[in-house]
Amino acid sequence: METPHAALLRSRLSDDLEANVQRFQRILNADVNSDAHFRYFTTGEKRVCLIYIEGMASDAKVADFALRAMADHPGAENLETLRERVLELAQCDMAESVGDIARAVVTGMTALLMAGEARALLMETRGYPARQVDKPTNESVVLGSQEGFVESLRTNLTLLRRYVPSPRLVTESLTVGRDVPCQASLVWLEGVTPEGVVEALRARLMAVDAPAVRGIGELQQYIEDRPWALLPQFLQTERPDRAASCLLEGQAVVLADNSPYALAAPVSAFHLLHASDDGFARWQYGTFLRFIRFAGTLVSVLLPGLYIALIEHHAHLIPMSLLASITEARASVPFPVFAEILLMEFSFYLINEAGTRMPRQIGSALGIVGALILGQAAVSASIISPILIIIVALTGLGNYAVPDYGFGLGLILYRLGALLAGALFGLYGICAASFCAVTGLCALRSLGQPYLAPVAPPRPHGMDILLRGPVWRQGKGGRS
Amino acid sequence: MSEKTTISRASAVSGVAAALISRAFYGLMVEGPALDNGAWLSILVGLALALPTLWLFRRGVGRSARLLLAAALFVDAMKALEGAAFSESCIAFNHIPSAVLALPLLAAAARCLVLGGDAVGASARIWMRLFIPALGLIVALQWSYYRPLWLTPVLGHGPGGILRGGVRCGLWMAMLGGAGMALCREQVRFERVVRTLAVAALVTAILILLRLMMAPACLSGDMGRALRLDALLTNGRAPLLLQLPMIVIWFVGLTHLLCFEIWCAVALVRKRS
Repeated sequence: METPHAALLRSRLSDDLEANVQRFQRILNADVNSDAHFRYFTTGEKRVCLIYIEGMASDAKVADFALRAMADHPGAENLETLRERVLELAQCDMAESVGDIARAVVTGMTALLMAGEARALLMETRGYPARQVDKPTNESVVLGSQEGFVESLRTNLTLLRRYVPSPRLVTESLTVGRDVPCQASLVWLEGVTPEGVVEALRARLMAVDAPAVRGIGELQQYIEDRPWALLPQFLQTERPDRAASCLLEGQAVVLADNSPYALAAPVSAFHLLHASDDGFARWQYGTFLRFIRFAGTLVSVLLPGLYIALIEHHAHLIPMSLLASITEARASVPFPVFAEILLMEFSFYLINEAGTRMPRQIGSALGIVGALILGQAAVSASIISPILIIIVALTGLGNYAVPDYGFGLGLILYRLGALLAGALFGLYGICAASFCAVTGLCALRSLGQPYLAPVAPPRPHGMDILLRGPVWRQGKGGRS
Repeated sequence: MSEKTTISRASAVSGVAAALISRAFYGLMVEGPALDNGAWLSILVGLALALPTLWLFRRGVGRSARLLLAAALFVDAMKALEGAAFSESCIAFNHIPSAVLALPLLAAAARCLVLGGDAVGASARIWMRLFIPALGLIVALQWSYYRPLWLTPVLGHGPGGILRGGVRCGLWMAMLGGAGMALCREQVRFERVVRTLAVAALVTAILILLRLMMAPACLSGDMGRALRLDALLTNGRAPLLLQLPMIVIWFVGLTHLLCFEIWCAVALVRKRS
């Protein structure tokens, strides 16, 4: 079924001003949309009509740089004269397609139609409200930049240009979404980003065949190598310094309008475990932090499964004093260990989700409710054992130590798998599950690059995988 | 060539090495018949016996030879599967049938068939990287319990036993090495094959020596598989907690062995040229 006004959108302008205006009035539902404006004006002998959306276009720009300019310089005979000599706008392009003009108008540009012209001028008059550049909300660092991406694509591109002030930085504009287009940009560093990467990413973006793409997260799922995989194959960051670092390392970056995040690829699992301030601290401390993060990841995935495997099937491996303490703590707990862990995991993520959705005014109360009432009360009521609270807390901390949010979410599912394997088959099950997980990661690709490279398959690399070597030994920066 | 029936050189090297270490150690120290102190010599004898067969493989493997190799790999994989299930039964699940205990490994093997040889070999590479620090940890924790005197008598059950063990090791090396050569996407130099097998043999020999230093040899009779496994995991003196890394190494090693052999067997059957 065709979208409304599909035939009109495919048509081209005629030289009849009224006929053109009526087309746009139908497309923009002017009889209902109170914010679609059609401003007639006469310049010299020529009748013109400005079409813009109130709120998306800046009234001041329309008035000052278009209307006043035409009033001060009457007598323009055609659009070329208007563009070259009258209009005082930085960007002013010609367009003939009704669809292109309509799409430009709804994004905040102003279309200028002139009687006798089968073209229109598209003037850059965007002036919609947008959030100012602020601190990143989900990727905090101690050292490093405190700027984050915002919803405006233009602002985000500007931020990237500031962090990579090189003439080799290329920002290619694309549109994704069949019916409701979304502006996107493919960004790469010429001479650094391999051409194959750029071409592959461009081809995937052009091949997106969705009616609408609502943001960068949705776009990522359309262009990933394996959308069924648990772990992301793109790095999603809200930090321009991180995105700039990706560009300098030879990755390509994708930005989309209305999304305060950037996608970078190709990435490996190690990229997703690196934080942007690893490189700002001294190499010894950077290495130490990475070890902590890697250890936290392993703890997050394996600790609950190991706990249940040891308690249920391999109790003889636990030192007697610890075993006695655990047994005493669990003596009055009515549930089996597996149920206990599932209950705690569910509670933890329920608190987590509620904390994310809850209004800020009452959000602080959740910490008190979650920590004191649920945790302490559950232990006092012997619903769960105290040691399990420690297990789940360590697991949660390990999960939150992962810098990439999508990667952390994937680890949750791996953890559940390890938990089930440990409950059913003990250490043997955990070993089999770990083998399956690692093998799956070895088969995973990010834009065709192996997910666990350069460890497997082995490739020459600098000291920046697990160890964060001194920066002068890593060969970072834009290569010539 | 299809990526599902071939493997890259790096993955083949890792996969063959990991599989051989697991197979040889399991076969010589647990599966039986017992070789005891002569086991580490058997692995070296096996290397010498395998080289002529591998020399023949370097010019290519015909279809009949591939099918024979596939059958041998499949049978050996089933032995590894049975060994893993038996190990798990000994360690914790003696009340559960072996067929049920085999299910996780069968699932892992099936997954490897889908993922391909490169993934299996890459996984083996990661395992080898983790295996060495894990082994170092075990050695460090058990250092005070090792007794070098228990390496004697050096020949164990005698030259006959060493030779029998050597023949078995040679078969495993020829099987795994031949599969790696037949399925490798790139040209493999014979020297590389020899080096890979030699390193794997050396690592296995070191593991065997470490194991022999943990408990005195039982040369007067056969302990049986269960007791041999128990002697591997604990020496009766070290804390039981130290079994944890050894159990992990044991099961992960057997998992790699099974999955690599099954993948190789299926790939050899599916390969057209």
